[in-house]
Amino acid sequence: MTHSLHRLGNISSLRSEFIVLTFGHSRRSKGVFESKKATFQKKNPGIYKIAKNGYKSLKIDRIIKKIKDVKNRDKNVGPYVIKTKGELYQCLKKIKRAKNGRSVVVSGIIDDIDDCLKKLDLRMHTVQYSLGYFGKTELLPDSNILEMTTMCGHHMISPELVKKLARDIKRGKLTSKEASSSMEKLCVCKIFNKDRATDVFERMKKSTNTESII
Amino acid sequence: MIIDTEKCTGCMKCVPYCGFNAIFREGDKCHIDLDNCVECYVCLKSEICPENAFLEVFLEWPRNLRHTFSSVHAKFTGLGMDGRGTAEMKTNDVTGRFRLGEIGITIDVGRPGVGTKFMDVERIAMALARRGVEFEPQNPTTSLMVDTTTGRFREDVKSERVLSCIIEFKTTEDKLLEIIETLNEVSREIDTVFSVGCISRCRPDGTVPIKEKLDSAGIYYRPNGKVNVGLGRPLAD
Repeated sequence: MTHSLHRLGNISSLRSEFIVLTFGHSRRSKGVFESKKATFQKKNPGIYKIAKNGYKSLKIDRIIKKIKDVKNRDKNVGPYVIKTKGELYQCLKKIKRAKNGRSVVVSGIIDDIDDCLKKLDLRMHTVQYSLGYFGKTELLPDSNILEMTTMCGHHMISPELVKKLARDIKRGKLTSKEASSSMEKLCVCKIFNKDRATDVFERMKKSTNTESII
Repeated sequence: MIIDTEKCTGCMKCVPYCGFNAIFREGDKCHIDLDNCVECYVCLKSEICPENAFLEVFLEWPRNLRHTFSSVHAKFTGLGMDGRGTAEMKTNDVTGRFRLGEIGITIDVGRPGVGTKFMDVERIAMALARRGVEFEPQNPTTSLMVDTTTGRFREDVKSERVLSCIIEFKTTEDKLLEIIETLNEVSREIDTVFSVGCISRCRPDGTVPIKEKLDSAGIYYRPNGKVNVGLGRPLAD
């Protein structure tokens, strides 16, 4: 799956989020691991999780509690959105201390993640880069809209909905926060970052270029 | 997905929720353009319709592929696998799937939000197959190919439209630049977009071999990406 890989945004905006996902593994043999993984994936396709309320930006201690919970030993825990580099450092420090052999994947600004790891005497194991968009890119909406729609990794948020909400905000029918909350509900795996979306709506509201939202 | 016209009042509240402009109003009722619809079910799951007029209908092969590849809620039961792709690099610290000198490529066709027909996916796959690429067997997109050595797809699926699907394969680092060149070439022949991901196992000191290759070739990559932090314990065997 590549759903948090291709998030669009400027550096300062992308610096305000790290998405953490952890994978539990059976500790027996490779064969058992593969068969457990297959069974788990059959029951829970991919890393999809249906959470009903709010995007998952839990306090670090709650994330760690879930990771340490024996019931979750073979399960995926996350994804969670962590908002600062400092919090990411704290989170990784506690996961490292837990020593439960989980695979941990963080999406975000790679240099920032690397910094955190070095401070913890860890090194990046494997990296996945996004090489961007290819093909008929003229079919893509403008960058503000794309910044919103790529926050939902499964693309459950339509560009037309973003445009409509931006219009409603300009007309005073909604606040940027209310608009972001209404979009958040559509993101099933809950990595849609409501706070970042509110900022983008504010940016769109101030923009004199109304063409992109009309 | 269809709209029950007995229930629909034509309020059009649902229209912006569709990412493919597949909902339209004719007379005083809304309808779904079934050619454009990718069966993602966002219209239904958003619960935006005050009359509950969206009706989930049984999807026959090959139309059910639309739902499988486009909906978060779908299970890939027809082809015996789940999800749209594999775990890629996420568990590489445990599985050792990508080793030093190897790279993984993920091509998310139709992403972000444009959608694709499998005929365009086939064009990309065939261009890559000519470069000798071996497609990931545990991937649903690969399972739609009749011949993985040519990248040719089943005839009956080519007109089906999905939100996106992933072409996955592993190759060696020395082939990275020719793969990117191939992708640039084929990108001019398709009627959609695709997002490319490139996976590299890091050296023990945490440096990334392909970063140097990309930098020296002047190939763009985003500052944000995914990092496996290496806390997984490798399997004993």
